[in-house]
Amino acid sequence: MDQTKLKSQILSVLFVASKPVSIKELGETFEVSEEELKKASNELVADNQTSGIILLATNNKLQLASNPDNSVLVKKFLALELREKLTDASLETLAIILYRQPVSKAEIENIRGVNSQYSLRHLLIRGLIEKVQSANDKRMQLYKTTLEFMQHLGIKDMKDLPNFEELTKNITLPQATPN
Amino acid sequence: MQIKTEQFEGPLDLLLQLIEDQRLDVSTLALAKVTEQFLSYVKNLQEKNPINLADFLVIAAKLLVIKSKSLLPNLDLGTEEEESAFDLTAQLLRYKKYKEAAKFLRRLDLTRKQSWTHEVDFSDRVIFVPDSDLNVRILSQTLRNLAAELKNIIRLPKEIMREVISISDKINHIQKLISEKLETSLSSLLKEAKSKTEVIVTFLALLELTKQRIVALEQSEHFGDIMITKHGSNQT
Repeated sequence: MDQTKLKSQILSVLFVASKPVSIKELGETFEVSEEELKKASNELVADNQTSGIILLATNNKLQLASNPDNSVLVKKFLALELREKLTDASLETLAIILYRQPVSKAEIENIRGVNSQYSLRHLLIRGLIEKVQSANDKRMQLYKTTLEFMQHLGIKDMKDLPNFEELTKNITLPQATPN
Repeated sequence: MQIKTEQFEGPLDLLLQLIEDQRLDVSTLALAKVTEQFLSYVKNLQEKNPINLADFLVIAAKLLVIKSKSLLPNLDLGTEEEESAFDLTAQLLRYKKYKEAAKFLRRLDLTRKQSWTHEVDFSDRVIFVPDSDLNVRILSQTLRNLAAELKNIIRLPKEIMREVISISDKINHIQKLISEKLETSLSSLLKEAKSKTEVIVTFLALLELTKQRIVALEQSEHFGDIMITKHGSNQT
């Protein structure tokens, strides 16, 4: 199918769906492969970076959203209150999920060295993360970031996020200094 | 050194802070040095906010293994315990890295840029289709029934809470009594007891005080009254 037409159709479907739609769901509607849909959605993400409506894509889910660059204006229009800030504990937990997803509760707690039940519940309630079943072990729940996570932090493309190694390259434990 | 009473996100957060405050390099020696401070923080936590106490104790145990090893190099604690303790440095570094990533997310959060999606859903619009038998009379009757049900819920049976006395309260009480009166007896203590629970608590408090060598007990004959004195006072 003509690529321009496919992209246009994806946009229309996402507009009326007005909720996250998975590539798999789109595959059932469109008569093209999931690979082609992924390629088209990647292009849509790139094409719409400066548009008023952008396409958010993460973990094979797609959703249309307003451009975070227009955040101030949209807030004014919606007469929204300032939202509640995330706590340190929630941010730590979120950072681990972001860079290790999909990740288990045990792994998160191992890294933080502390029970993270409350932070996880808080992040789940706010819709910033979601639980998925582990592919290897159906009894295990793993955590991932969501489209809401992108919206909340104004991330337009997951590719814009810095690489973990790059971000933490200067982090070392304290070295001995002569007193 | 005083440890700030600020809230730490967890034991690794605390340990990192202790080491960085002292400008120590992360060696087993440094970890052994901050063990005391770590333990005193945990003790404080035990009283104030015991929610994550278990997690702090895990790290405290590792620190103690490291400290024991630095004092007694020949001590053999088993490979597994030692490895898990000496892995602490790697664990700290990994935690610090994620703390940095969290800082990055905080900056994003603070820029307050955000996007919104629209909530209308064309595929499933909600409409209200009442039952054809429904009329105003039935609605008002249902509401009255509901109000009657609520009355039952509001009139829940009431129970009076009994005052409970804790062992530590009792210990303080007995200590105060002993320092004022120098001597007292079990029977006079039990006379004050208002319930069976309090009798038991009094007895447990006495056992604890005896164990801690704060009071001494003496009984001159079988089933005789037990005299309670300050520990060491009858020897002098």
